[in-house]
Amino acid sequence: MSAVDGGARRRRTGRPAVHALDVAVLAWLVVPVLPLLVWGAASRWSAPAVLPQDWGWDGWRSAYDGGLVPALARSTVLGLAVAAVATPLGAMAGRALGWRELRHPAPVALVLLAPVVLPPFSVAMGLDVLLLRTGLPGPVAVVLLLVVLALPYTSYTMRAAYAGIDPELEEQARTLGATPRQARRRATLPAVRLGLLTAAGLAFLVGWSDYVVTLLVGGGRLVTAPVLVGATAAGSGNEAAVAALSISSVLPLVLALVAGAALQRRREERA
Amino acid sequence: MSALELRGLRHRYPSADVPTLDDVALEVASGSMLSVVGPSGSGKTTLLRVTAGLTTPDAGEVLLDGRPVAALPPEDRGLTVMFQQPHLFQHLSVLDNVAFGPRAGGRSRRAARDAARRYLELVHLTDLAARRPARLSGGQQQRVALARALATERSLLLLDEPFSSLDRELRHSMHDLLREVREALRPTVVMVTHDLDEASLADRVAVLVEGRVEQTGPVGDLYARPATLVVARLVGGFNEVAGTVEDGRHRSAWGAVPLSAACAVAGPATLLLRREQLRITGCGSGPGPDVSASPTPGPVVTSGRVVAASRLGARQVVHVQPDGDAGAATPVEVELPVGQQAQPGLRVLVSLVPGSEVWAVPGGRLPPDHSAGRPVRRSVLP
Repeated sequence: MSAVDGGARRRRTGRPAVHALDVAVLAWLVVPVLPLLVWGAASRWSAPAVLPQDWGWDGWRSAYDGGLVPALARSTVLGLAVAAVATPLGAMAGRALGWRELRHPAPVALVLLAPVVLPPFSVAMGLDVLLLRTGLPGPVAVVLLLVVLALPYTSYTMRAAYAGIDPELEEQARTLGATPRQARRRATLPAVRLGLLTAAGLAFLVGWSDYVVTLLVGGGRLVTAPVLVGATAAGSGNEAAVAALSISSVLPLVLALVAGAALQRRREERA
Repeated sequence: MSALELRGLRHRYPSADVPTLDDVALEVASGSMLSVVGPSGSGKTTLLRVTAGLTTPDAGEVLLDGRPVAALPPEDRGLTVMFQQPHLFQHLSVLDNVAFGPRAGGRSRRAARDAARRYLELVHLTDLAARRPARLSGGQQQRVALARALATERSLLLLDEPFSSLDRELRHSMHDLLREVREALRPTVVMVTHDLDEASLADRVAVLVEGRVEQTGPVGDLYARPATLVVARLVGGFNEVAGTVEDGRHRSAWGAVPLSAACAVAGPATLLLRREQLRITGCGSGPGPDVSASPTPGPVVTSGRVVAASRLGARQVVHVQPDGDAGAATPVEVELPVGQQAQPGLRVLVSLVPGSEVWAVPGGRLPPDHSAGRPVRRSVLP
């Protein structure tokens, strides 16, 4: 058999394995959501029945009446605000670390990692005490604290992105006549755009999915989707409503994954 | 007036023991091309970076068209750089890559693209204008990088080993293209390279070793009249004989060899004989009837026995171990004319090709592969 034939055969036999992996990943993501989907469409589902006894949209109605839409809107704004601050900060830190612009990078790396290394509850409580004394409005304090928690993700994502391109690229732009700002905007940032999108997505999810910081620092006045899910699950006993709220909370993650996959496909097609 | 003048440039990296640039002074005439050659780590790239404003020197001046530019950022110096890697902007098409400089210079998108098309035509890549850089071959990417540099229409072009990552054939094709571009646009060019073949594209060559300029001049001078033993070793292909110069003659175990009238060396000196300046004549004993027993073509410098033979393209290079007092010396390398060959074991006379310019450099013998304290990579032969 020729080498070409061998390669083609490997590709053919490799495809089912790839598909199996796709299915496994999809199952990993979807299986935990399946009971929620069923619960969301159930009016009554008592154990040990395998399927609901009554179907209906009572859960979604309860969730809507309980403030689902405003909570989703607050979560979206919170996620966007965290992404808007943490992404550029992470890009700056990632550039300094990825391009080795710092004389002593280790302390900086440690400071950036600290929120991940320390228990989030401790970080939130400690910083909350500090922020309370500054007199900052609650939502601003929540955003600032979540930015601190998002920075490890954005900075390390951007560190990897910058490490993947040569700093000479920006110098090349400068020697072609671009000012430092033009060089960053027109040469470097497009080269790390995938990293930027990933970092922004991660920062958004940190803001969107946060429960601890929003509850502690927001003092219960800032009702986001996770806070609403937590409160409904703890207090109402209305599992259908909890399911509807939970499905709504998962939606951004699904959208982010779909968008990411589409971007990756587009990139591969261009290449 | 010189297009580029470097005066007393000094630079040392914080972690380095020795300066990267040590009192470097160079001038490049407008429209001419200078090649900067030297072994790895000799400061070539730093020299280019300092000129471009990408690295700040510790001391010295950079003048472009007589104007000091030390305070100017790279984009305002009126020069452009082509690096070893093409560094094409992957998110832009080939056309927009070439249009990058004109756009940065303030031209409208349409005007910049019009200019870019002209330069793409110059590098024979008009039909690839719409492609993304990732879909180009290495040679095509370097052509685009050259077009992009030229499209800035800046008077000084700095090339940092731009063709070293290409294979031999592509490199030669880029050399031809560079000749075309020089003919068409007459830019002032400074090219860093470690390849003497490539350096010969330039009008003049500067040899940089350990941050110091050892010699400047036409490339032929490096072969015929190297200024120092370090330069000779960088060029490669010389036989070295330690001795003393008196009255225009180099005296050593090889006897008294008359030097070129232009060689103004006195005292301890090393005789440099290029291997193609020497011939061998068989003495009639030992194997190897291919070497004729005819009289020697020029003055005999030593006798000895062929101990090894190797090939250099179509020619054979033989290694002759000298007899007598000269026997302790390293073997003499002789490049034979095309068609002539000799076998190891043959006894021969080594003579000078008549009319050869014989050169010597000050100083005695240095350890082999030694260049001012640093090993020298033997470079490509002419």
